[in-house]
Amino acid sequence: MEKEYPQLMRQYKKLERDYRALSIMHEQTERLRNSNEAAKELSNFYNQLLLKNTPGITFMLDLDMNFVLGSEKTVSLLGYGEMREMVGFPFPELFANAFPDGWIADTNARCLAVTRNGRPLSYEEKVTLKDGAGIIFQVTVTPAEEKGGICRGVVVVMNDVSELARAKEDAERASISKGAFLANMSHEMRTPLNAVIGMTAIGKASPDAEKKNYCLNKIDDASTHLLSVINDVLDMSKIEANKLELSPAAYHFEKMLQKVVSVNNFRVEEKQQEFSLHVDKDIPRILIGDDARLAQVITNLLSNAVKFTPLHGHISLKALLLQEKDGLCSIQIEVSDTGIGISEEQQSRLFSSFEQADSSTSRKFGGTGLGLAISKRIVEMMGGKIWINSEISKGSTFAFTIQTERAQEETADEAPGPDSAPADCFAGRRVILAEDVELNREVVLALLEPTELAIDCAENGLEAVRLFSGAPDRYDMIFMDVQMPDMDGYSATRHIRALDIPKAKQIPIIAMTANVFPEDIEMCLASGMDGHVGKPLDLEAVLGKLREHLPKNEN
Amino acid sequence: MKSAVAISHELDNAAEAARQLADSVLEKIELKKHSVGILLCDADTDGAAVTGELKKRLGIDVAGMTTLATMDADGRHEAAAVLTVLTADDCVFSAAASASLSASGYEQKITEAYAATVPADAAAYGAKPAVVFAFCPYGLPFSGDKYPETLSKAAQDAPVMGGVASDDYDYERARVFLSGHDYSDALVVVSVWGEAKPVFAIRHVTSRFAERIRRVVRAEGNVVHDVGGETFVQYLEGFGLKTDVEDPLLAFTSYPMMLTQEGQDETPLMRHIFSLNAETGSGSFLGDVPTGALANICLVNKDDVKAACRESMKALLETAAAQPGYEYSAVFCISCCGRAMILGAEADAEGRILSEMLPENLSLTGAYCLGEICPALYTGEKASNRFHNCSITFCML
Repeated sequence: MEKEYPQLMRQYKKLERDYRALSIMHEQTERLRNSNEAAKELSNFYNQLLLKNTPGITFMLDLDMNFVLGSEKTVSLLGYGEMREMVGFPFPELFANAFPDGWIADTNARCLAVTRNGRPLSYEEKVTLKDGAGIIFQVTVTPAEEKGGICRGVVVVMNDVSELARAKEDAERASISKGAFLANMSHEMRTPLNAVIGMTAIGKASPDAEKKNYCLNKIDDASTHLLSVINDVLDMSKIEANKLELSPAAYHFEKMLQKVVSVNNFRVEEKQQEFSLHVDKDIPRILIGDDARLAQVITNLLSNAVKFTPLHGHISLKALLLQEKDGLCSIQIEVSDTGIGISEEQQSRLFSSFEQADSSTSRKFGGTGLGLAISKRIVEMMGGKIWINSEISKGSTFAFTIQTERAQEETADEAPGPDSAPADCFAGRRVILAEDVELNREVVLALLEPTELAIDCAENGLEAVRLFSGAPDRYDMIFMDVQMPDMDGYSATRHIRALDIPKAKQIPIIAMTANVFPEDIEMCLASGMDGHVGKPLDLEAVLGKLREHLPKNEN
Repeated sequence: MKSAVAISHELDNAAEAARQLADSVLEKIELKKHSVGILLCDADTDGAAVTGELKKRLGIDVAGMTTLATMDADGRHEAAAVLTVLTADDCVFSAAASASLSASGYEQKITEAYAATVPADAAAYGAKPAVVFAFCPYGLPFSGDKYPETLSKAAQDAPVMGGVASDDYDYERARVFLSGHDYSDALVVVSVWGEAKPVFAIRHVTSRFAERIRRVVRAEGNVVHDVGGETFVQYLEGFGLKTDVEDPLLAFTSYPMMLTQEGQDETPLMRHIFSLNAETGSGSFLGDVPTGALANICLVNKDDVKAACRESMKALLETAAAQPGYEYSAVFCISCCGRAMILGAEADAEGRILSEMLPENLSLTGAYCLGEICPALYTGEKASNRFHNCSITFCML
């Protein structure tokens, strides 16, 4: 017993050791098991949530192509209430509710192939469901592999990309149109440019003054046409960027119409067409609106009418007051012709940008194809709409309405027209012209030479500041280009305004620049300039600024 | 080299135990020019007295340590002492104990202990030892990695085999001994020089994980502070495990941590949790935990333990078979105490498996330790010695 006692104690301790170890391990194992089960439940919950909220058609099939699980969208598309109604059923049977037999057979075959070769598939296809809906699906079939690479089935994801496909088609179509448009624009710009270059060469080479005059007239026509093409393209860009703005002011309605008619007159005479104008007496004399844009629309319509009406045809322009209430006028303007007419199918595309009635039109009749799109936008901005009535070989009537206001005081725009205005004379006046491009300086000097205005030139802003600060009382006005080397027009203006000379604050500074967007004009004014004339220069606009800012009794 | 293994269940009478062991050994082999004894025994054994008595009877150094349980060719033994004697004419064996080890200066003391085992005529036996056995004390204030690291450096990357002394999870009776002395805080080193071609095998359990892989963000040596943005305690609690336990080493013995480092081709590290700090949330391990390693908790069960034992022994025998012209004699097995606990009612499973697989011409000595030292990789020239947990390791000589 003496010998056995220690051995028994030893065994007892070892049993106690084992018991202690097993107790602790058992407790930890239970906790881990509970934790695992809780984690599994949570995981199941999230899995269900995922299936419920998966937007596309997503489902899993086992190796025998039986349904295992799928998204709620899949379940409802196939006409079932709950996923468990579908579990274990063959894919062809379940999908027969909604999908055509051919598609089911193909997809079944594809899924089987994926389970065999282990390679995922991705493809796009159009499917017409049994309810008639045509959907383009982006389909991916992926082998459902567990650890060790054993395939248990397939996961199929089908995303509806119909809208995307439509958008892609639209974009491709627009791109093609734009490509065609750009090609056409290139042609439209190169044609008058070619005339300018060609006529210049001919004129230079010819000693005959009459010939030279002829060439200069052609250059004049071509450059005017080129400017209108560029303006059209710029207008279209503004429209597409949502930056086209109206500049409403009071104007004489009938005079505006007369001006438009006179611009088109020579073309009418050329084609020996008859032209008639009818203006409703009830239309107020003075209206508030953007007369330049309105004239642009009418000019466009008249220009088209003349273009598409043969020799000896008839064109009419009518303006009617539809109604007036509380000073708000609704006016309808119609341009009718006895021209070639436009088919109904072509009419639907007329007002879209980059499209003409017929792609051959530009080749036959010229034009950018932008005029009607721009006109439509302008009309809509004026609160109106534009439409067409036409019949092939019988002619067309383009009509549009605008909403406009009767001016409160009928004093606007009473300034005399170009024919009655006295000739400008600015003898004794001196201005600074800040312009870095020599040719542009020559143009200004030549245009203003008849006015006897003295002009000192500066090649950049720095020089302009130096000229003015050197003799501030010598100058009455500054024409300031904006983009110049060394110092631009904005900086030069700010420097001049900051000079400690009384004249520096007062001298009128007018921007003379090709930057003509509203924000550009705002920048000019913000820098301290008093006004803006756009390039290419309009002489009348330049003279207008001179008249405005130089003392009147000196004119 | 020849070997003989003897067992005695006499734990209370050291002299009698030594007599039984010595007589049994001498019945089996004749001692050659050089010999050494390795004693693995129950923690109740008076190791100092037994090894001292054996030295007198056999005239050889006997080194060893206490263990949770021992193994021989017949299987696992609780409450026993197992002696292996290695004897050879073409090898020399040398043993030494280090000075008391503490938190500082341990590297030098370990190195000095090894140096004391280098024979005067070492050059005659090769540039470095064929193998170094290390019997390490339990519970010192530095990571178990320091033993293989320091010994590798001292022994020019010679293979190091050994373990950390254990007892019955009371942590008070674990000892190492050498020829009449026992130590709770010293390392005992036995180096083998000469014509020996040791082969090694190691397996740990990796079949199932808790799948909460996180990166070790901050660790200092064997103390882990931050795992995936959480304290280590929070990381454990995230599995649902109870952290407020009296004996973390025992409580988490079934849930060792596996560490993998990207780009490393060697066997992943296994680490047993040693202690938890409720205040700081940090956890201490028996070995170092590298910062940046990916950590995951393993779920170990009996089947995993048995499978690893079988695979490891099979790998050992295959490696030995690939060494033509060398006759192996002895197999040493150091397995983890954690594995013994996981086996539960099948506590003798590893012993049984090894007994079944052991060829007749080989002797087997095994021990359950609180940390195993074995090369993760040995090319024959250079060994990558590592400190392991929850692993079964083998050395065949």
